[in-house]
Amino acid sequence: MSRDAIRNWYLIHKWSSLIPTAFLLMLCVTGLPLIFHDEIDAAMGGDAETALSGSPSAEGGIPLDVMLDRALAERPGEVPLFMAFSQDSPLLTVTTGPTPDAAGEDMTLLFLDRTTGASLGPAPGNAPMDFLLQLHTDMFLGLPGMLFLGAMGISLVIALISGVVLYAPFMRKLPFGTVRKDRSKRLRRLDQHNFLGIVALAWMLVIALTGAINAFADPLTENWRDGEIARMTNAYAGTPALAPADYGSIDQAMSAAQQALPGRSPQFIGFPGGAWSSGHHYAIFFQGDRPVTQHLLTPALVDAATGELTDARTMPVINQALMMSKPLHFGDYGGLPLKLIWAALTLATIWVLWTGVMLWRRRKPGEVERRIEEIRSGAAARASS
Amino acid sequence: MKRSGRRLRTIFAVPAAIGAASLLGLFLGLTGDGLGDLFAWLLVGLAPFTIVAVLLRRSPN
Repeated sequence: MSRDAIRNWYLIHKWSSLIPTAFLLMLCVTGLPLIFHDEIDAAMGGDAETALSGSPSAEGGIPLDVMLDRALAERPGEVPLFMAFSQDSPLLTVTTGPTPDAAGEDMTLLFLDRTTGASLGPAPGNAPMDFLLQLHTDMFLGLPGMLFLGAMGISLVIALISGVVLYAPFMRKLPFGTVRKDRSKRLRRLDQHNFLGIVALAWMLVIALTGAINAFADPLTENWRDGEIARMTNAYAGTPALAPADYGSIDQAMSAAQQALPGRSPQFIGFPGGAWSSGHHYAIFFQGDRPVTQHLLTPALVDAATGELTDARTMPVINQALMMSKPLHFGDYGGLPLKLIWAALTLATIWVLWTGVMLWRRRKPGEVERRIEEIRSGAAARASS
Repeated sequence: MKRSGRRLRTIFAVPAAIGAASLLGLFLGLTGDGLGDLFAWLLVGLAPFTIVAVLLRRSPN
């Protein structure tokens, strides 16, 4: 690689990582406890799910219309926004709000037991974890905050790619895993930065990309609702949205949907007028019927007044990517061992970021040329294997 | 130590193997429970295992 090429890649690497570093460190530090949110919630007594016994709420139990009435009795004057099912326990959640298009902060999440029909009250909050999640998602800035953090994630992808490009000339004369501890502190940091960076590369790329996709979740969902959903329901275009008082039976809607998509398990229902449906439909989201497709959701749109199926269609590729991005980013789909691996790799990422900052600090005139020479020579190589 | 540079294949052989294992593990964990999770732990775990193994190793002789 020519000296000029190294210089260009070095500058790309420097700026694409320096700009997002502070935010990426914040994301790592807040993400670390969020990996274990299930365990932390359980330890703080907020895990309603494990206490319940009975068949999963996605499979059956007390009629959904009865469950919805019980939920709405807790929140007089409010309208239903979402109903979500568990694949493991009788836990059924209902989200309510003042209007069908209520904003997230005005919503209330209620827990119910679909086996006994008991209302378990509002979902137990966990203030510290909610704070961390909010900081991690949008830094309390709403959509602009989310999009900004998404851009930081894209910058990290550029930093990772340019880092790999620079890894090649640096390692030309060095065996894999070289960490020279007996020379300068700087060289040890440089070796650690390169080694941890290249080993955790694939994982960091996946986390950066899925994080960036998640950051664009709201516009992507909106785009899907205004495009695909509008096309699926164009017979209803121009008619005013259905009033909550005119919502028909959910059980009838569910059986119409399950006739169209037999053998599929429901994950959640988006009520009319919300972000996940049209103004006239129950949008019932079903999981795929094979393990490979279980995270890919297919919505069935059922007329909320008549209970008749309008259409069922898989989501566009970009929205399916969004569905897959959530578990892949959170790392909460493979049990505690996977979470521990997630935590270890997050610590490795923090170290890569930190050593990166330390390597950049204490600049002197002509520093860029010295860095290029460092990369070209593998910092004057000479390590044995 | 004047030696012609190692070829890209040599430089990236181990990192590419670890990267491929990580991606395969992430996919297996996502698509299956039980055995899928077990393979996910082993394959994604290879990266942190390598880090710990190398950092705990004595200084190169």
